[in-house]
Amino acid sequence: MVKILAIFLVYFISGKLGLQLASINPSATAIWPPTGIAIASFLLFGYRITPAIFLGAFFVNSTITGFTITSLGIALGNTLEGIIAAYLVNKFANGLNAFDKVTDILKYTILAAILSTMVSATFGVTTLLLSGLTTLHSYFSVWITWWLGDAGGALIIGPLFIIWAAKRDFLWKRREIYETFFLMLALAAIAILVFYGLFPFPYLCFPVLILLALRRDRQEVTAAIFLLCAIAAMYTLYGLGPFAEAGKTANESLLLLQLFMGTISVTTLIVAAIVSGQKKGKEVLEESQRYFKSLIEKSFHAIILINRTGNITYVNSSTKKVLGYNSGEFIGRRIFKFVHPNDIPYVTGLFGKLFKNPGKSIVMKYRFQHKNGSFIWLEGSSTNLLKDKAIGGIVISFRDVTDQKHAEELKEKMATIVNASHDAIFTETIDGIVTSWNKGAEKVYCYKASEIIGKSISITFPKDRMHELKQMINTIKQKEYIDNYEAIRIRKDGVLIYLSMSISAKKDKSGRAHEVSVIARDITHEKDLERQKDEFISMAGHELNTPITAISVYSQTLQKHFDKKLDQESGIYLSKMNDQIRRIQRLIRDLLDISRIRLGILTFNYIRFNINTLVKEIVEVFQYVSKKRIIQIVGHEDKAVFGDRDRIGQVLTNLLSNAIKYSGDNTKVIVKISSDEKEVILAVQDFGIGIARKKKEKIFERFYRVQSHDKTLPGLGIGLYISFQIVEQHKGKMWVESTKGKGSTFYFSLPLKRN
Amino acid sequence: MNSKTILIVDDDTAILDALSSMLISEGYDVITDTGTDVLNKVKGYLPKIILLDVLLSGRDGRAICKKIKQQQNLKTIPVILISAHPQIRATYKEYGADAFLAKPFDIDDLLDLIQKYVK
Repeated sequence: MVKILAIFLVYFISGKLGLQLASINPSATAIWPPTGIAIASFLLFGYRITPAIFLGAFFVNSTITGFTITSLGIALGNTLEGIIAAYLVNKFANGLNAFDKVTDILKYTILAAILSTMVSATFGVTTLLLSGLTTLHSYFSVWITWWLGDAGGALIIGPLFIIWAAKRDFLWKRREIYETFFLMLALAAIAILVFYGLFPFPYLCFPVLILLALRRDRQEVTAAIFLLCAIAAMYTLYGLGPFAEAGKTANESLLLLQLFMGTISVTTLIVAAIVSGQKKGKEVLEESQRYFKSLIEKSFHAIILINRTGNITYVNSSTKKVLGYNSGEFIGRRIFKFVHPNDIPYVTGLFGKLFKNPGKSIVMKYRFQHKNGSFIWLEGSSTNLLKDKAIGGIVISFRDVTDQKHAEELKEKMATIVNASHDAIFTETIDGIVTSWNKGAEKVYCYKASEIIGKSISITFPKDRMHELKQMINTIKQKEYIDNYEAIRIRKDGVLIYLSMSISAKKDKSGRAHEVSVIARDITHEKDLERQKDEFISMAGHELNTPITAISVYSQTLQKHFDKKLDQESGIYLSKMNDQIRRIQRLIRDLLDISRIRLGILTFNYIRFNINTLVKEIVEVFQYVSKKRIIQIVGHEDKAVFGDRDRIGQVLTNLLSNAIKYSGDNTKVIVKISSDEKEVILAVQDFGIGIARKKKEKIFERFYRVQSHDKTLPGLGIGLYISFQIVEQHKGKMWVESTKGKGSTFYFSLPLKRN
Repeated sequence: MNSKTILIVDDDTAILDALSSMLISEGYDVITDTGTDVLNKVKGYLPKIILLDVLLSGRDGRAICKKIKQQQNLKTIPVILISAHPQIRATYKEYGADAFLAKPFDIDDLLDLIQKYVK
């Protein structure tokens, strides 16, 4: 409502002022601001303000022609002019943005300023004619006056209001205020000089106006045009200035002035539109430049910009982190100076290609010199944005991939090693599906990689060993690593092979084993040799046994002989000889036992027996023979033990024999019997030389023997190994506790329950 | 048909000699065989006791023992199986043998065993 009132008042007042200048006809004036106001109002506020315009026009004209139909007619024409102009401008000239583009300005000029105004002129003058306020004779000149007056209003006042209404912010910098003031002052001065008549050259106004259009916004421009108009109109009214020539009527002068002003207005608006468009373009460009810059600046990646010649023009802050250089040390220098000499041909080649292809991107890997002098591997993505106005260079975004490169090189090395290896190296899933298979595996198993990848490794298991797969899976899930695992597998051609494997499992993030790697060495040949060796030992043992048996018989016979003849001396010699013969027989027996254990043919005679009796028996024998030592039995176990009595006796004999052998000067040896509900434990303790910690594990290996300083105590060392095997076969355990110099205790356990 | 005749069967002549000498010096009569003609010798000599080695070249002493024990007139003769393999001790009875002796043995143990069966 307020709007309508305001518009009405503005229209009325400006209309009244305009009509003051009416000379050719009281109702037709050469300067008619209301047209501009009407057009602007319709464009700004829409057709609902029609009442304001109509009433304004009506009341204005009423002051001249009274509240008559004439005024109604004129008012109608004026209102229609505004509506039609607004409609046409909205439809064809971008409405309120008509002054943004040159084409729209021209359209506005034609549609609003030239055509629509004809409606008002026609309506108005025709109404006057019909009302008898003008004659047919003067129709044309009145019409022209009316028309040009309205056109002037459309071209000068219209843009003024429309552009000022679009002004969003009123922030002027001090410099801008001074400049505007100065320019306006200059314009006013020139206008006065021109229209007062001192320098009656209207085109002198152009320079300042153009300057204003170039340097200031359109708001200032329309204001300047208005100022010029006002000054010019004022002087021309008083008959001064270049348009007010002698002989011309006031109306003629004002029309000429109007023409001039209209032209100047359109021209200046066009320049202003062009400048504004450029400014906007520049602003948009600057905005996108700022946007890109901030993106680049904030990026974690190091990003640099190089120009056409390869010189670095910009470096973001992340670059320092990756390369170590400050921007000052980088900018202006050629990027190729930092690339590793070996990589320069590759890099320059690719960059050359890139320079020729705007918009293209290339990814490159090369070595770049870090500030600290060393070369790091970079992976860079370079994009040719030379043609992009916002960037204007080549953008290189890169990251340090030194670690990855080293990892890649290492992977390649590993792959080469794996492939070159004669051993089978392969990987499988935790369920045994083969995932990789090296050349060595192809040789060992006779399966080609393509034949076995994706299949279960169980095809290499002999039928009677299928259960091993599950066992191995369970073990690897717990232990993650199995070493020196010997197994029998079957080749593609059906031949059985012996393998020694190392198996390890990789755990994933949740801690579960998910991939298994296996290295398997074909030891069939070694196993063969071992078997031949063991068979040879067995054969040798048997061969030796025969003559030894014969010798033993003869020697015992001889001894009896000499005993009968009471030849004590000879008897003693023979007795000693018999001891040695028995010793050889024991050694041969041990050899044979070992070969049987190794060949897997050692069998046991399991029975239930009393352990105490066995211990007593054996201790008695030893006590009888080694009179220097005191062998003490501690403990007692009444529960029956299940096992091979002779073999267990062999173990005890061996331990006691060792205890005495390594006792040195000490005389005491203790045999302890203890038990719990699951097993009986026997211990043989001596107080002799003891065993160093390092050697403890090795003594159970086949032919190892503890060194006692310079003396090497006799014995093949087989005894302990055999004892260990015997105990293991009984599902018991054997171990030792020892301190060097203080003695050793050998323990072995036998399960009480029958397994 | 001496009440003190012992038949020794072993494929090794050295052992046959040694055992013969020893037994003869103890007053026994000895017949030997390398395993090729055992049954005939047994039938022929009807020894008081047979010492039978298990491992004979190409033959198994246990089978021979079984054969002897199947003969009506021979099954009363005691057979002692001798072997270097101690595990034979578990199964000697299955072949009908009366005793087992592991090689190498004490000749006193042998003599005691013979005494038991040869009054």
